[in-house]
Amino acid sequence: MTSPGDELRRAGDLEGAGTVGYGSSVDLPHIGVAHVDADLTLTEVGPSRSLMQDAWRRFRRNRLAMFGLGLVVFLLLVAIIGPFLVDDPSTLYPFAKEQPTNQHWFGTDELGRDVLARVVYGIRLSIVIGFMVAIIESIIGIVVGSVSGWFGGFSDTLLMRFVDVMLGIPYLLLAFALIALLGKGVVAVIVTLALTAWLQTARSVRAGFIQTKELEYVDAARAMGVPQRRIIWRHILPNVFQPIVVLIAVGIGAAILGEAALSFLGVGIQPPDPSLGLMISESQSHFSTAPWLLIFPGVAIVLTVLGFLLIGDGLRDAFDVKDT
Amino acid sequence: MAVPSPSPADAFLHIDDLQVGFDTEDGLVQAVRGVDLSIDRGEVVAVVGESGSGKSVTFLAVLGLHPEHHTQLSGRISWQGEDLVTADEDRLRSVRGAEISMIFQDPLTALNPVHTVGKQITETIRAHENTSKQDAKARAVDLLGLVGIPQPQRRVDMYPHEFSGGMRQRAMIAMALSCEPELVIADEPTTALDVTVQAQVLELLLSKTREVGAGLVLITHDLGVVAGMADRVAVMYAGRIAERGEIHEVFEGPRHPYTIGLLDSLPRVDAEGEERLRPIGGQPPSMLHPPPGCAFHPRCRIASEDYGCMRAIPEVVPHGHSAACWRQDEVDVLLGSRATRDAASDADAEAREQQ
Repeated sequence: MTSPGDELRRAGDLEGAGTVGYGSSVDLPHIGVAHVDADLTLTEVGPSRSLMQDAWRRFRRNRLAMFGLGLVVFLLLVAIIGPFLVDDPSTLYPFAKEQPTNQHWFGTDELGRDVLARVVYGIRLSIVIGFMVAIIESIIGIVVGSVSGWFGGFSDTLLMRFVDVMLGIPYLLLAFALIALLGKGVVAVIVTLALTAWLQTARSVRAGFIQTKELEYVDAARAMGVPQRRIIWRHILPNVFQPIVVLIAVGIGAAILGEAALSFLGVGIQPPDPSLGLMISESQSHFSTAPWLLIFPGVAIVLTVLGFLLIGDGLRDAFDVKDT
Repeated sequence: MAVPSPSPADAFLHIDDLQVGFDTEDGLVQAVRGVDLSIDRGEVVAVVGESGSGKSVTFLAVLGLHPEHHTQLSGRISWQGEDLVTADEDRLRSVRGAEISMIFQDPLTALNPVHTVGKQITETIRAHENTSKQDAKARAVDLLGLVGIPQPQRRVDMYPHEFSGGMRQRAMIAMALSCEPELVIADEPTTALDVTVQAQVLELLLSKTREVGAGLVLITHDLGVVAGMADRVAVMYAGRIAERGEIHEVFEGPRHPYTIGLLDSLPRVDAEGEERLRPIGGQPPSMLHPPPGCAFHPRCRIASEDYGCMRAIPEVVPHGHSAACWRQDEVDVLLGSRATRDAASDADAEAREQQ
């Protein structure tokens, strides 16, 4: 599997992989097409590797990130397959606040519902909300940030001042106002979280655009007549893509936490829908008599958020070429 | 020697009184202040000057590449009879790459690191022609072979970081030639390269542009680079053309004190033992407030109020050898350019031999 070329590439990593220096071309005669110059000599190289492949390779080496990925994959499986394996989360069993048993692994809650079933459904809801929020907020953030960063000038000033104002409003105040406007429920939670989360994405995308559009290869592409639309898609967005992916991964974690917080405060998911935050809120008063009511959903939230944050961190490191 | 000059209307590329200014917080930077320049079909023209002399700005304006909202552009850029200053973005886009293409200084930054070299060449081809991806890629392979890159079939799928500096610039040349342009603008194409490959890349650029029958504008700050390559040269200083002419005329009988300064600051292998380089004293002027009259007068050793150097500047005629200097006829005597000195020392040597 490992060829000499592989070794060479590993040693050279980014600069000069697969090339040799041009030290020996001093006495080269006048160049012709068929003539092979010293700096053109092709050493034996393996298959070419893109930046994405490089990033994946670095990600794979990062144990914490891989742990995060494992955690998220496991939780995704729980969210997808889990509901088929557990009871209906609204079934009331005769024994309320029953300790974990063979029949109810996580015990039952104050109404006699199976805690495992509610945690599984809660995780599913958390993940759905996390992804939905991340998708919506990145679309808004990318569009606003792109317009702002690419066109600059007046539209940039207008959009960025708006973002500044939004960032100036306390997050919970804004969330309460939006929920008061939209009514309670899953959709309201998603919209509220997305509308408060896109600001950071927009700023990052704008910064990326401004940085990238000054690069010479964007000028070069323009000088070759490549249409603006293609320049944005092919040359700018891929370079802005890396911080966006990191933000999405971290954003999913933040959205899950946000949902739990809103539900805990009673303005998020409404009973009887199973939500982890709601479960914690409802079980507060029973903590001394039935701590598992709090511990299981609490641990579920921590693990879910941790998984996404670790992935985010791992991606950040994997993309950061300077660091390796 | 004197080529019959075409009338401006049917000239290939004719730049007429081009002015480019940039709005900045400090005021208007007058980067180009009335440049007239004609380039004929298939001609190799060198544009020489220091950083900030307006040479790159002039040709970025030809392609309409300056950001619209803080650039002030006036004058006429006639491309085969069509004005590019007033052309819309769609038309400019169809000119760029297909009719006039550009090669940038640093091939490392001019190639996008996230795409393969082949992808970037096919992108140019497909921006102008309705070809399939396969055909475009086949052409990219041919082009890479044409510019002397070995194993082009494999190289086409590699990323820029897997190319050496010289190879990257070859790839840029391949890209610039991909749509068989009629004019190639090379902006300091070898400055970022290793000295050992500079000459190779330059020669390749010259021979390949000739092969496709394209004209070449060679923008450089290094007179030595253009010596043997260009047909004509235009020396720019502070946003204006200081001197222009056929290359041997300018090299052998420079008429502008600035050109003389440039030539004198060139190291020469054949220089006699004790000859020292003579750098031009002073700094290039600020283009926010360029000096009145001849912009070179603060650095010029023969500038004088008697000749109006501080008030006005003579016209440079568009064809033939001409300089924007009031004292161009006496320049030789007063400054003793290297060419004159060479001639004098040759005469001395002859005289000595005869004795």
